[in-house]
Amino acid sequence: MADLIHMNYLLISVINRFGIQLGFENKTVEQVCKEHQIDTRFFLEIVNAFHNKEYFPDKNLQTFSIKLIVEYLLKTHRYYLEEKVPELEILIDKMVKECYSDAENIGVLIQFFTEYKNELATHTRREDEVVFPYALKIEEAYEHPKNRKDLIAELRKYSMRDYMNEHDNIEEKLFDLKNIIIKYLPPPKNKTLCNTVLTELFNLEQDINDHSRIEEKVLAPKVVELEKKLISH
Amino acid sequence: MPKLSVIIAEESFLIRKGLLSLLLEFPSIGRISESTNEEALLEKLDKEYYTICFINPSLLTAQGIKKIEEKNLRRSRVMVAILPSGSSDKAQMKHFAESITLDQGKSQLVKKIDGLFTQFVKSQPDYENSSGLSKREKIILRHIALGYTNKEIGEKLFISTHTVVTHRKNITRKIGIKTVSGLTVYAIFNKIVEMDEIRKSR
Repeated sequence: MADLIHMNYLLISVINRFGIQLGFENKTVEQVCKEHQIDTRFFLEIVNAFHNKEYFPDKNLQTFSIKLIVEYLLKTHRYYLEEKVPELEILIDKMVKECYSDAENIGVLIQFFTEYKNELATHTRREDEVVFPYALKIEEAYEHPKNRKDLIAELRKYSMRDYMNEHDNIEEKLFDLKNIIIKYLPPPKNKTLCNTVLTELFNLEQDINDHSRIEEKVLAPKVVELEKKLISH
Repeated sequence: MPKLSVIIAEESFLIRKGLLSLLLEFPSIGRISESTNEEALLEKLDKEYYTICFINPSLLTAQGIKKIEEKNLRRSRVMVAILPSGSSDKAQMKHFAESITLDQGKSQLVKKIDGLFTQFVKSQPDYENSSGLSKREKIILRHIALGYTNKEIGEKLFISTHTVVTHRKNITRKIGIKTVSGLTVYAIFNKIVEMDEIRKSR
């Protein structure tokens, strides 16, 4: 497990999401997963997908249950909203106050980030409250064919395809923020702080990209497949 | 600087992917497309504009060459031939501005490709002024920051919505910012608009 983090330190945030903390001595991935009651195979697929863009085992990942995938996605959402974004908010606030004088209007950056935060919150809330429960219901109906009728009626109203079409791009604002800091801010008084903010933004962006990939390439197609099977029954 | 788009026309998988991986190392390249035969190449050239075309001449028929040259009359592309080791096929070369050969090492290739880019970028009319916004673009940006829609901006400035969209695309390309909030931040930093004005307008 330690080798994993040596190979790519960005995975620290991923293992945290699974509830794993540092300090695992020489335990193997399998041992650590067992201790935390995590499906080792699922853990490895997620880690690999995160670490290497080319390695995208959508086929393998699709063998896991929707429940397992949704659980992971929910944890990731919580990680963004409860840890990463508040952390960044404090950092940006500090950067604006410590690095620049008031005259330069840098304060709008805080406002900009707040807008981004709200956008992200709306986006994830919609998934948490509408999309994920829907996906779980589909799986449930597929496995226990009791209440299928109602669901199929519902399915004709809203399907995963609609979700895929409306799945909007929440990375754009993040990208703009990076570019503003890189290109257009005056030289900061505190370089280190400014660099930290930027690094964190890059990390968050990569994390979110990976997350969207799992939503769009793994969860969505899997649900679509079940929808088809349900309708044809 | 605008990013350049490139197309590679080559039958061999290894050569195509090899060239592709080399080109990916150039930050100035935005989009790279591939095709394995003349038909696919012509189709792609019809649909989109590519600044630089790396083509294996043996893929082209006389007719295909004629079609490409007609296209080049309207908007020029830099044509580069992919030639076998040690070759310098004079007859084919009159259709190409440059060539690379399979036995060239990485440093030679990089030098060649770098040369192509510089040549192209310098020939562009707005080369000198590519990072700064034009007066007109600043006015448009000001309106965007104040929260007007494309349609409203068009009406206010007596131009079509389509023109507004074109201006917006150019602004985004020049300063690298896409969202309205991002553009607003840029406008405030650069004193194109004042904070108070934005507060009043919303």
